[in-house]
Amino acid sequence: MQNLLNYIINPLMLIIPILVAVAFLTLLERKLLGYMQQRKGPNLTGPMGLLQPIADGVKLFIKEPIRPTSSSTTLFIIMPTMALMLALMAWTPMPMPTPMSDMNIGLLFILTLSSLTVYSILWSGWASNSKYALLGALRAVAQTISYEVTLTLILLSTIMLVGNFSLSTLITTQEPIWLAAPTWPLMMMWYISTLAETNRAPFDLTEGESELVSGFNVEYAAGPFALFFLAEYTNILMMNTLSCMLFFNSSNTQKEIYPMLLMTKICLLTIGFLWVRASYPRFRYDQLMHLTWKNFLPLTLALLLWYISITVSTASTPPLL
Amino acid sequence: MSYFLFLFLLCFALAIIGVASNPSPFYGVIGLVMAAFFGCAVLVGFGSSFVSLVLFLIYLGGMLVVFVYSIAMSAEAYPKTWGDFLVILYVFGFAFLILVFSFIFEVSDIMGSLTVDNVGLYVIRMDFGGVMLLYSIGGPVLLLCGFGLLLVLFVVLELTRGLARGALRIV
Repeated sequence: MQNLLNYIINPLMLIIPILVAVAFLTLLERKLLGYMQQRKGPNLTGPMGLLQPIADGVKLFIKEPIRPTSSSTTLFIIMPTMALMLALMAWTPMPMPTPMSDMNIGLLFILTLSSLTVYSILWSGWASNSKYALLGALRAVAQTISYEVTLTLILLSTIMLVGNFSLSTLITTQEPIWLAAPTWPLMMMWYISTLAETNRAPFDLTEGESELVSGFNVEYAAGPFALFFLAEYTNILMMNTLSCMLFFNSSNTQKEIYPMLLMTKICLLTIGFLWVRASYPRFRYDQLMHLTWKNFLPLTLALLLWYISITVSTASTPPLL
Repeated sequence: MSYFLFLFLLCFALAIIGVASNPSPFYGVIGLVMAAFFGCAVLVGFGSSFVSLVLFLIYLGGMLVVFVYSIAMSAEAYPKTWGDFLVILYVFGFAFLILVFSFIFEVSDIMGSLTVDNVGLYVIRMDFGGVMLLYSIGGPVLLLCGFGLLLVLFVVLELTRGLARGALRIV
């Protein structure tokens, strides 16, 4: 019974709400984009289109998946599963307010998983054996690993203030004040980097329609495509959760209210993502690379040194354990 | 956990065979990533989770670049996988070799008796402590390693120098 609870029911209780949230996030996105463009969005399936994600899911999963004859079939089929699995695994160390597994290196774990996600993109693009998919994958990879550098540096600077890699310590650190206040430049760069990391507009160069058709997943259809889609949106929610944990962690509340507050903040940040998608034109590729390598990287490096030296010089280093 | 450790070690051996059996470079890189993954999982099994994650991050970045290069450099319509005749011969050969060697050099007690926090004696875990030592007492060695890497960079640059002067070129 204990094993059943630990290894099956606990993960399921984490996975199912996430997947439901992802399903309704897609609906929210379509509705919001619709209203921002003076139209209604999906409104026929169910009351106010509420059943639309379910209908989409059913449609995608009962379609016949395509397996191009020239592709490397095993890799081609495994990659979507890997993408979704990694996206879901990244939620395990999230304390909401109690994590599923309390890791002492939770932030590092999430970083590692997000760099593994790059592999799922690269290999799926390569395994489809198509020029469009490969080019899309290469562009996606170049973009995500460039922005991962700044993401890591930003994380390191917050870790300098927190003391270790554990996500639970972030809650303790932010008891007096949100980290957004002392580290607001970091926070702004973090938010933009997460936009780029999850391949969202205005950084969605991987799927620039006129040039690359749809990016690394051109050859995918039906079930595997749905898995990629789910993974992408799970990653968006996960990144926003991480931003809330890092910069807007309200830790003085009771345990019962904490999830509610957290979810509200995640929703606000996610709506920010959608808003950005509705109103910003896409970056040019060189502008994108300039932004990270010439603006964000020097700034984050300088800020990292600043946060190291300010804690040391004011004799306020956190307990580094 | 020890069962997990055995599983990881087995997968590690399989992944190494996958690399060594010499399929086309793409699959070699995939095998290498698998090997890095399971090797780091074994490290986690021994308890040094920090070092294993850092190593894995570094390996991942490196392998990514290698994979992209191998895509860019060699385009094969039907790359050799592990299922091909020659490759599968190698696979079985290496598996046999591993079995033989594991019987000859019988490694007992790989787990050791110590844990990473020395059975609860130390406050700081060994892998964190090791990183600190690397930057304090191990400073000179770290500098030496850095110099070695710089040297390797120049060697590689010289080897792959363009046109007629490089060592590696299409003959």
